[in-house]
Amino acid sequence: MGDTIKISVKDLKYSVGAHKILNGVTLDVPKGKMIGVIGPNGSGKTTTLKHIYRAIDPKDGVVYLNGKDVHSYSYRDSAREMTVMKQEHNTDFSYSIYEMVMMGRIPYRKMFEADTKEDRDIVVRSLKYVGMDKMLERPYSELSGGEKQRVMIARSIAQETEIFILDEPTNHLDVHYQWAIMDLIRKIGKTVISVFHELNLASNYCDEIYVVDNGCIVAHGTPEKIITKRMLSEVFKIDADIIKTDNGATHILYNKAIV
Amino acid sequence: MSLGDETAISLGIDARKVKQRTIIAVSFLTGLIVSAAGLVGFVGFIIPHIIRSLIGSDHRKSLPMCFIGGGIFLLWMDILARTIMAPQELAIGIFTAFCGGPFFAWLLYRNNGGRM
Repeated sequence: MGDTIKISVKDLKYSVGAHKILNGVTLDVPKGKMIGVIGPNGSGKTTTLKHIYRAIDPKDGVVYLNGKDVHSYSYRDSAREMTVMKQEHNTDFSYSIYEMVMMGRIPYRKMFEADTKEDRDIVVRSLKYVGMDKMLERPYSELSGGEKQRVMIARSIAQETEIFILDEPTNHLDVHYQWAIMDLIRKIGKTVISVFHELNLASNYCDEIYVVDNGCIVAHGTPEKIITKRMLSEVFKIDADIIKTDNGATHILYNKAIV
Repeated sequence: MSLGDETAISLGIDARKVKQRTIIAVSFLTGLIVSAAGLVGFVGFIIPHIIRSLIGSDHRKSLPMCFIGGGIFLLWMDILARTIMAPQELAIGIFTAFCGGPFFAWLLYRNNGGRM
C-alpha cells in the first residue's frame, strides 16, 4: 500500500446498541480519483465517512490513511491530510468570510499562534479560486446557501489537504449549485470521496462508485458498470431506465417506486 | 469548537479532550477562588453575557473586557456590601445574587418571546 491508495477501509463494523449499522465495509480511495458512495437512507454511507474523517473512532475494523492506521495520526496530523465538507453550518457565533476560511489553517498553527502573512495569502487565494474574494469581512451568516458552500470549499482548499471528504454538502441547495459545486470540486482535482443522494450527480462525476446497503458494500465499479436498472431496483427499490449520452455520461430516468 | 465537535476534529482539534481539560481547569480555579473569597454567585453568569452583547463574541476582545468588567462589578458590589449597613459588613454574595436573580429572570422573559 503505497502512495497510490490514499484511504483504505478494511472490514469496518459498527453498532449502536443492538443495531448493526456497518457490517464489514471495505473500500479504497485511489489518489486523484473521485469516489462516490451511494445507498438508501440508513445504509451506513455517512457512518462510513464519519469513521474516515474520525468523527467516530474506528474500533472494529481498520481505517488506513496513506497506508498507516488512522489511530497513529494525531487529529492535527490527519487534519493536514484530509478535509471535510458538510452541509453549511448555522452558527450563533458571527464569523466573517475571512475568519471562516482562516479556520482551515488551524492544523498548521501551534496553540495561541496568530495568523501569519502566509496564512492570509492562502486564505485570500482560496477565496479567489471560488470567486468569493470580494468583501472578506462580510458576516458568513448573511450569505446565501450556495455562497456559504463556496466559502466552505475555500476553507477546505486553505486546509491544503490532498483528500477531500464530502458528506452531502449540496443536497439542500438549488440544483444549479449541486452541479456547479461538483464542477468546482472536479476542477480542484484532489482525491475525493463523497456521499451522494442525487444519483445522477454521482454517475456524472465519479470515477468509481461504491453501493452500500444494510452496512455492506454490495457493488463497486465505474458508473457505467454499476448504475444499472437491476441495481436501482434491488437496492433503491426504484424502477428506472438508464441512458448513456454521447459524451459517455450515464443518466438515470426515474419511472416509479417499486412497492 | 463553536462549529461543532465533528468540524473541530476535522480541523485537528480534539474537542473532547479540550472540553475535559477546560472543565477540570475551570473547576480547579473556581475552587481556589471560592476557598479564598467565599461564595460569590452570578458574576460568571452576568458579566460575560453583558460584555458579549456590547463587544461581540471575539474572545480576543471579550476575554480581557470580561476580566476588567468583572473586577469593576465586584468592586462596586463590595463597596455596597460594606457601606449600606456600616459599620456592619454584609456578605457580598447577597448583592451579586440581588443583581443575578432579576437578570436571570429578564433573560428567561426575553427568550420566552417577551412573555412571563
